[in-house]
Amino acid sequence: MNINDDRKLIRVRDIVLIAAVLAAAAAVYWVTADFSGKKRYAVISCGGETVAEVSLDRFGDYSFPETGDMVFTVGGNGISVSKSGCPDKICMRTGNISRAGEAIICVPNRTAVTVKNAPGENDIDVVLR
Amino acid sequence: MARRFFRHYNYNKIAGTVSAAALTILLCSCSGADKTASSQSFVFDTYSQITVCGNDSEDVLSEVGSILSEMSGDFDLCYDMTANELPQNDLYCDCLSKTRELNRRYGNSINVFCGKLTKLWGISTDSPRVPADEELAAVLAELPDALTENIPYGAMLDFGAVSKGYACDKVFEVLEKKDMDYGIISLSSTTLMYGKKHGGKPFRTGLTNPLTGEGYAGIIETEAAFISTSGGYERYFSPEGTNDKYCHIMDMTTGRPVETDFASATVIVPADVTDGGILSDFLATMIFSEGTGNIDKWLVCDDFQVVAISADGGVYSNCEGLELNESGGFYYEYK
Repeated sequence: MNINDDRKLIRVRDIVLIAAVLAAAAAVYWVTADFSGKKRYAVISCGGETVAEVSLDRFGDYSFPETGDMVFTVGGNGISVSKSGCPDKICMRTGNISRAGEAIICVPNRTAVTVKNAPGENDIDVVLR
Repeated sequence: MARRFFRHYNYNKIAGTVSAAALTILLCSCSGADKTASSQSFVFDTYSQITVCGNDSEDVLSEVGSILSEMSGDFDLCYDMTANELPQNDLYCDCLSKTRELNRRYGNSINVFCGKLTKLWGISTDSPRVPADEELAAVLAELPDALTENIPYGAMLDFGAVSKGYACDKVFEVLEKKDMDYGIISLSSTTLMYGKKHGGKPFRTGLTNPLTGEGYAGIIETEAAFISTSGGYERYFSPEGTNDKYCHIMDMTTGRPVETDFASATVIVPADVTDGGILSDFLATMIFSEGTGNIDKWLVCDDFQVVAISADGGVYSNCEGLELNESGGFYYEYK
């Protein structure tokens, strides 16, 4: 039987077209993955300027020159401030945050950690504290 | 070669589908996205987050930002100066007269002349302390009545109980004048939800769990509104070596931090109420201070809604849009 026979259910050129579409989809995903794959992340800012964005699935301790001696810890329950030299320690007492809109504020260090979602997820707009 | 390969396909159809898809993606990514602007800053001794959506959103954002930072600076002055040293500007006069109006309507347990008391305790400063009884008595003896028309010489103002709400009222005026689609102005304990979100979805506000300060006690769904919360779970101080907790909200009769069985009180005022921001801020502090003993009268008011949480997780609320975090140990005492 001839493989190019038009009566066949799937022809070679169908397979090539499907493969091309899949390849294009993969390419689009590859280009955008860094953004859309970052489902929930924490934005660390100091004095209103963003210092870093940390994905909440990258467990570990983080510190940044802008935020001095503060240490931010990402673990199974979200992100927390595990060390800070500020006098009141409100930031450390806040504990873990993990839902979009939640924030840890350190007024003496003028530092804020806020959890954000990739756009489109239906979560809360703001946290009242 | 490719042409021969795909000769059985209708190229026009494929090209049409592909361009339609591309156009849809392009439109989706543009609509709304370019009209929203947001920023964060430290004002009113807290972290603020501002989002505005509408025409010229960047300009409106910067206008709102400068109003907030200017006001924050002006209100900050109150902590260091007595009333007669303060510049005589409309801000103080207007905020004072609006607070007095609320004092007349709801009671005078909130007193903006309590600046000396605030300063004596120094809670939320680097050097808080428990004052001696004589010091308290001296300050209380000179504490002017909340409704006094003539501000006594040397009286110190503290607008802490109303300043954020008042600021949200001013921002509301700007957003309305500029005809913005919607805006979310968060000053931590007071939030303005302005306008209507795209798609008509309600605003969702997370209410911090006041028992642990972590996670939510519930989520409130509202239309446009001013929402304020008051509680002792965040700003307090414990003298070294003790388990005592002194919160930042003062009882004007004792001169000491309020003793209340509420962990937090939240007030929701619809955005169409004139001066709803200062009202929500004022009432949240008042309801929190008064405790469960006085809650019944607040739950029957029609012009605002209340979510008050007692120290054991009992919730007194007449708020329809509240989703309570029951698995977190919160339960209705009054619904």
